Amino acid sequence: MISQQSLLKRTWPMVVQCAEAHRKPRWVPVAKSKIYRIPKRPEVSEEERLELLRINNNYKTQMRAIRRFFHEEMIKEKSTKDSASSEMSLRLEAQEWERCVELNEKWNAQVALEREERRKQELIKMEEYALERMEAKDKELEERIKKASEQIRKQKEIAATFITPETLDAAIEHALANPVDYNFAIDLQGNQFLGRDTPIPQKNLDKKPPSV
Amino acid sequence: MPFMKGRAPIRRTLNYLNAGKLVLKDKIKIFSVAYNISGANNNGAKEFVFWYLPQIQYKNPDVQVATLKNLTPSPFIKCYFDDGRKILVDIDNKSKDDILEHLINTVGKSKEVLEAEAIAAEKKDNPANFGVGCERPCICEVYGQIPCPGVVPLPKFMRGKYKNPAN
Repeated sequence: MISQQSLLKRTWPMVVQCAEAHRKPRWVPVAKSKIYRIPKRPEVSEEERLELLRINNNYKTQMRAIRRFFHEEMIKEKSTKDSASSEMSLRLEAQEWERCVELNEKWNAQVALEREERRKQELIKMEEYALERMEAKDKELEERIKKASEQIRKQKEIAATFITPETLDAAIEHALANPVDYNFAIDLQGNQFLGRDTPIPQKNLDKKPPSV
Repeated sequence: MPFMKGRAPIRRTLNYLNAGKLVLKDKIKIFSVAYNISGANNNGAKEFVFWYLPQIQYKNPDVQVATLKNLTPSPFIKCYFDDGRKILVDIDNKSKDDILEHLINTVGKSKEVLEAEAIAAEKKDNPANFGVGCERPCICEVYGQIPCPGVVPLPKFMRGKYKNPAN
């Protein structure tokens, strides 16, 4: 018996046919009345057997020939179709490849051109930048030289008044002759009185006692 | 990766990945991008890698997608075919959209091919389809559906013989 589950899980639709409406189930044994019955072997005469053998052999040979013919024809047809389609696809693919390569070449050439242009621009810019920097450097150097020469000129002017061993005695004498006193006093109003021995005017002191 | 973390997390969403337009030809096995991370002429390549490489890898799971960073004087894309052929695309100073458009035209499958493949895939892929050329010839093979009445008789309440006894 076919279970419901196997019916549901099958891959192809199945046609169930019963040979007979009523048949003895498989598990029922041989009937008691037939248990010792031995069917008689069919008797085939020698001529009939040979004739049947001949006919059968003929039939088998012919069928084999037909089968082989169809099989070979199918293989031939298939191979021709395959080769044609593969050739076609190969040609199409080669065409596609050529188209892509051509497109790509064009694109690459365009990009190369643009890049060259860009590189040129960049080079010009770089040169400009370098020139600018060199000019700035030159200008700075010039400025420094100018400043230094100015300083040298000033120092040279001052050098005339320097005290040398020859003028040392004169300088000492001049210093002794003109003593300088840096001492000074200061009062509450912020007046400065230069010199250690400078007499202080008394009019401020006179005014003080009455106010106290 | 955590959700909504990192730069432009939209690149990791399924909608974005599925929206990729570049499907490489079957013969292409390796897709490599070489670029530098500095320089104005590399900006397009950099953005291309940032925005479109996830889509390309998602759409072409059988292709090796490689990036070569800071190993080249000028950026380029190189595709290797399974029979040893190579195709080199110069992407110097090009925007990411220009690059993608060009790649679709040269190494990508054309729109017609993609459509045909989608139709073919849909017929085979969709388990809801049945009939000639599909995975199953009849809906009755699906578990839970009613078996064909030629194989197992319909339940009695569905059969006219029992439903309409007058006939």
